[in-house]
Amino acid sequence: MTAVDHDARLELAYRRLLLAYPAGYREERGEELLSTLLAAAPPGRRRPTIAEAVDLVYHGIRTRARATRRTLAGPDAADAMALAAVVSLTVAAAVAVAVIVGVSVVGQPVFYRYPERGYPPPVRGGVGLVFATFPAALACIWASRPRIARWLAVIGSLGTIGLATWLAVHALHIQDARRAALDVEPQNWLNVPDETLEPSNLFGLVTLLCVPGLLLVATRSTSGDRRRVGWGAALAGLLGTAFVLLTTTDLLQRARLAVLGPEGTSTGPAPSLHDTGLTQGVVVALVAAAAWGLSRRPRSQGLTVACALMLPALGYTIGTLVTPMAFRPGWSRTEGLALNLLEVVFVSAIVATLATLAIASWRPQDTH
Amino acid sequence: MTLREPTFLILTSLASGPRHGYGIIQDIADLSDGRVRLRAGTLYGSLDRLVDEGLVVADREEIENGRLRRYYRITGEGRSALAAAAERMASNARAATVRLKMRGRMA
Repeated sequence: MTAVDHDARLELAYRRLLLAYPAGYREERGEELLSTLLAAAPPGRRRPTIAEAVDLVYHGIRTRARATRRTLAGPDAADAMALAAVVSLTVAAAVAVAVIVGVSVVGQPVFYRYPERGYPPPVRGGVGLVFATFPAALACIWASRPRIARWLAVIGSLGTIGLATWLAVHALHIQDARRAALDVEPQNWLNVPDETLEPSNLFGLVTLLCVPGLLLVATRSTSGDRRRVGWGAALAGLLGTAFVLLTTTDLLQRARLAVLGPEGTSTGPAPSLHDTGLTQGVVVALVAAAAWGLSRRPRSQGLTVACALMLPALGYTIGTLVTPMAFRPGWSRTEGLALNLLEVVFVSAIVATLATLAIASWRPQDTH
Repeated sequence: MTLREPTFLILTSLASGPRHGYGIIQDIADLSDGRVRLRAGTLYGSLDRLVDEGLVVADREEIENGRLRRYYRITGEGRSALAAAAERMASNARAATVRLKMRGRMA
């Protein structure tokens, strides 16, 4: 049997099916596979059988999965993950500082869309304590104390989840009080505090703040990474901090007041985390960090970094799209509670997925 | 380590000397009286795993009729894995035969 015995169409069809295999594999083994396929085909066959096609596509996809697993288990991915951990911790620290300034220092209830009053001192103190773990963890990374950094980030993540749960429940009490007051005086709605919880804040916040801890736990070694993180992370952090400070505190409001005078100011709600500033700030910071990651490293690793970094941003996007529906005045208390808790569960699911990814990347290297 | 049937048959085929992909497919068809006809995707999937595990290595390449053929060879480790698997299967087969006979006697 010689090569010319075969129909050119059969060879072409086999080549097309081999596209199921990764490009690198095809380059290395494609010709060999093709020669075996053609040798095994009975003379006169013009197209692959269905069983052959299924076999090739199935094994092609499995080969792709194997290649991906190997990349994820390789030192490059671990490196990229460690980098992502430090960059995301930088962003989280920036956001945490802004929240501390907003909630604990200024006393502005940044978690609500229509913040009419601040939180009681114990809450302000608690928020300050929980969120201080993130800048502290970052400081530990830069001081080459990754173990302490990891613990701090994990404690911070757990604290954030606890805080989010508390806020979800607390918002309902405020809604209850509002409804009761409006039942008595329906015409007085402007003077009744309305602190509608904007769950996307919690959603984004929890995702954002849990990511670095998970990545740090998963990557283990972060000792040599800080040099590489360098200016990219610093830039990302600065951008994030600037956006967050401008949009969550009333700095912009004051500037407007100074420029336009009292008449020119908006009578709308004070800026809160919802006022898209945080979302934009974080996305800008993450995109900057990802672009930096892409420019600095070979393409595939840069992509790993970018993907790891884009996950919290993705959480924000989904949260912003999904949650306007999640808390509506007029909904029953049970519905409200269910949806708020659903938020927390949803976030936990995303975080768990990320954890799985990260842990998958942290397998010991294959021995060859 | 248990070997799946294609893996077991590939090692069996290579035990008598290096073969290329199509050679292995033909040999396995002969070995199994035509019962097992490996498809190329399955064959190379198993070969890749065997190479990764060090049970098989690529031996040499030849160009035949303008087509690339790579020959594979079983390693010492491959031989012991195959021997262990064969021994386990033989012992299972013996146990099965003995039990079947016992049942026959009881019935």
